[in-house]
Amino acid sequence: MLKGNRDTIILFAATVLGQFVLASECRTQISPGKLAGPHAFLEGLTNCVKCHELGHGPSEEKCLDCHLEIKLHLKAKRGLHYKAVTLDRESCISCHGDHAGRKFQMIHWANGQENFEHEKSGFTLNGKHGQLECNECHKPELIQVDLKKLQPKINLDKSFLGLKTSCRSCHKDEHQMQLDKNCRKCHSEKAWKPASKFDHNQANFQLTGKHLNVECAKCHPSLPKPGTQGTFAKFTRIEFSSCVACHKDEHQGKFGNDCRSCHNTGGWREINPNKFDHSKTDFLLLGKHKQVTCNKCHTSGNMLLPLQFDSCVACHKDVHAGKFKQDCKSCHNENGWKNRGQTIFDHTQTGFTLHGRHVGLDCVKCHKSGDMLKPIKSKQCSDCHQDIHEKQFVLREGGSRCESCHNEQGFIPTLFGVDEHKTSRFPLTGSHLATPCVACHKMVTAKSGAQVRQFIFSQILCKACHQDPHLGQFSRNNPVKACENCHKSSGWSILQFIHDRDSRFKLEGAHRNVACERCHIAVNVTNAILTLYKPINPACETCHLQKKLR
Amino acid sequence: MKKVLYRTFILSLYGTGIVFALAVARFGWHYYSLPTVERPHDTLHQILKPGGLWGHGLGIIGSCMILLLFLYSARKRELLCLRFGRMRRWLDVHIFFGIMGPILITLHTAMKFNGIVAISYFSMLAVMFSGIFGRYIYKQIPRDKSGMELTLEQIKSQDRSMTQMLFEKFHVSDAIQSQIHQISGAHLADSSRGLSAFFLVILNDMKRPFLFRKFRRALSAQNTHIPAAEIAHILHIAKQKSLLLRKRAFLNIAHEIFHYWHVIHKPFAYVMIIIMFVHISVAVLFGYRWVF
Repeated sequence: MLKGNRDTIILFAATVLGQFVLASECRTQISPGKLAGPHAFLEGLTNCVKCHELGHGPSEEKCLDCHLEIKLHLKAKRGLHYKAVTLDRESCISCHGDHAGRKFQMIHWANGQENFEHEKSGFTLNGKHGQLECNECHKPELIQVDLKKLQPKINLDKSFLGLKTSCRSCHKDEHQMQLDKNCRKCHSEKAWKPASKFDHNQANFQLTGKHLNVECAKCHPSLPKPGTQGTFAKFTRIEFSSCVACHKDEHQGKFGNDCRSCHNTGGWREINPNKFDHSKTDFLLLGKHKQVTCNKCHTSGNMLLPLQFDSCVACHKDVHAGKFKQDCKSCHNENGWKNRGQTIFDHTQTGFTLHGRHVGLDCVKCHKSGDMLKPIKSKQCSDCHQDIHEKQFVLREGGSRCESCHNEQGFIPTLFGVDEHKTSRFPLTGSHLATPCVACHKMVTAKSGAQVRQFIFSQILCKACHQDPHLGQFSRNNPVKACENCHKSSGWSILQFIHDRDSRFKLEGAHRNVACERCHIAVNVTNAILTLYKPINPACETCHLQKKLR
Repeated sequence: MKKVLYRTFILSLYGTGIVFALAVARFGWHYYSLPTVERPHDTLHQILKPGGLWGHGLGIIGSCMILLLFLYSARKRELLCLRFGRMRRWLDVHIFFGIMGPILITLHTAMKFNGIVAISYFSMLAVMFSGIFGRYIYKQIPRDKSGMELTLEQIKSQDRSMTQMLFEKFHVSDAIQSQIHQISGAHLADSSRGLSAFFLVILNDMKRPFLFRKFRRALSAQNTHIPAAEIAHILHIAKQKSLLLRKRAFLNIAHEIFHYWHVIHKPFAYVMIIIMFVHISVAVLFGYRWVF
């Protein structure tokens, strides 16, 4: 047994020694494997705790003690590592394991470097950025952070750190510090040109009209880049308060600097007639001239081309063919050729002076052909006016003229009043003076069939207007003067009848005190009550018998 | 019946263990076949790496099995109050853990054998393979049912009883008895020593099935009047007798080799267990904990 134990000890020692000799690579370490190349300097038993926390395993804090460039990202709360550690709850070793050999790649591209989901880094590759190779951006000259200071062992050619998301961190400022640092306000990642997001309406100078079609370079000139042979477009400090800053003043200052008072961006020739102050020219626009489009006068389209305007016929045709010596203003004004409101034409020149309502008439009312020069009849009113009396007065013996009753001040009222009526065959007296004309001059049907007011009467008889309440008792023998024998024009009831004088039966004695109706009794005559005046039999019994009988 | 149940139990243990190990191996085949520098990038790395959930778990189970191996040694020396159970059963359990433990530990390593713990691993393999070899040597020493070694007298007594049975019951001739002795190879023990004798034993064990097949054919041809069942019985006794003769002939050599086997088996076991504890201590020190 003792021999066996001795042998066992000897063999144990030999076994251990042998294995250590055989496993020469691992005899000095308890490491599970060689560290990757970048960590090779940490190899060795004494270095374990430089990465591992005793009792807790690999320590992120210890990782970051060395990897200050990552710590910087975490502190700044941005970048792939910040997202992975804080949002995805990843630890350093979950992505960057080690102890897998010297050649182990600690940065692993799961789907290939070219397929890296760049949005995880906090910077999504859009547009042209998506077509770039990694090393076109991730190159030492674009690294904005002094990574070497943070991590002296870092290989900048292979590092993906240190870039910033601002455009200017990679791209040159083509605008030479003229504009906002935020390039994305105008440019997209699809292409540098055109600046698809740029809206000129957001600029201090909004583009309208023809300006919309002008090439940018027309207004934004190229300037030489300092220190280079290149150029850049000038976008700021461009004078635009006045049009002449860009445009040549074709008027040479004649109309001042406010071009917008006449012109707009719709085009040089698109002049706003409402805005142009024509008074600045030698020809003040008045009346209808204000409504005329510019090219009616400026037919060439060139508003600057001088026009003859000393006489109207320079523009207007002389329709009078020189008859009035082309002094148009003597008759016409700018308010209109026909000048329907007020004529200033001296009609006396024609031999027919306009008076009264003729003055305000539209010329064509008389000059119906429109040709003012064509002679028209003007001797009689009826040459122009219709005879609404249907020739009642014309046919009268000796004729009659309109002006005897009417004048140019108006057809109504007529000049024929009560006084004039006295000259007629029926002078007005008494109650007739207060009687309206139309009470006697009623509408009748003329021969022509037209309704006409009757002024001419064949006979002057009371019954022409009045009814005969006596039913012809007195007019049988004297139809003309029958009424006038008893009645006056001053009133029906005012009688001039004297019984003793005008009748065959004189009132004598008691007859004087007898009421009229005791003798002139009322009788019924075909639906009417007639006071019987004649014939009455003068015999006594005519009345008295009746009395008896009654 | 009890023996059948026991064998079934042991086989089911092996079956379960091997199926589990094969399943893990199949699952992780892609990962295990990757070069070391590419493994950390594989999706299974976090699970199957030695420190991963599964890898770590397999390591813990395998290590427990390795530790349980030492219960057999304790039982053999009646340490820790372990005096119960047959040694043969303890050995079966020892062998089971001795095979499954290294398989699980191998899966735990993920086929990565770096560092000082590799010494433990290779020692473990040495212990396992030497254990298989030791089991063979162990079987070369005649034992009773409880696993206790037979004395020379007991061996002789067993031999006599088998010879007597062949003669009296089956009327086996001397020629056949001589033939059995020839097959056993016992006669070779006189002319060889040490390892060469042991190789003869191995050679004899390899040849024996063929020799007995030939012997069975000859026996059947010469004794056509003997029923087949009786022939089989004769053959069974002949096999046992042949093996007993060989074991008795090589007993001294077996004892000598078995002694030296212990000298080899134990140091590897000690190296394995010491470095394993170092490995576990380092793992705990660097933050690995119980995963179940």
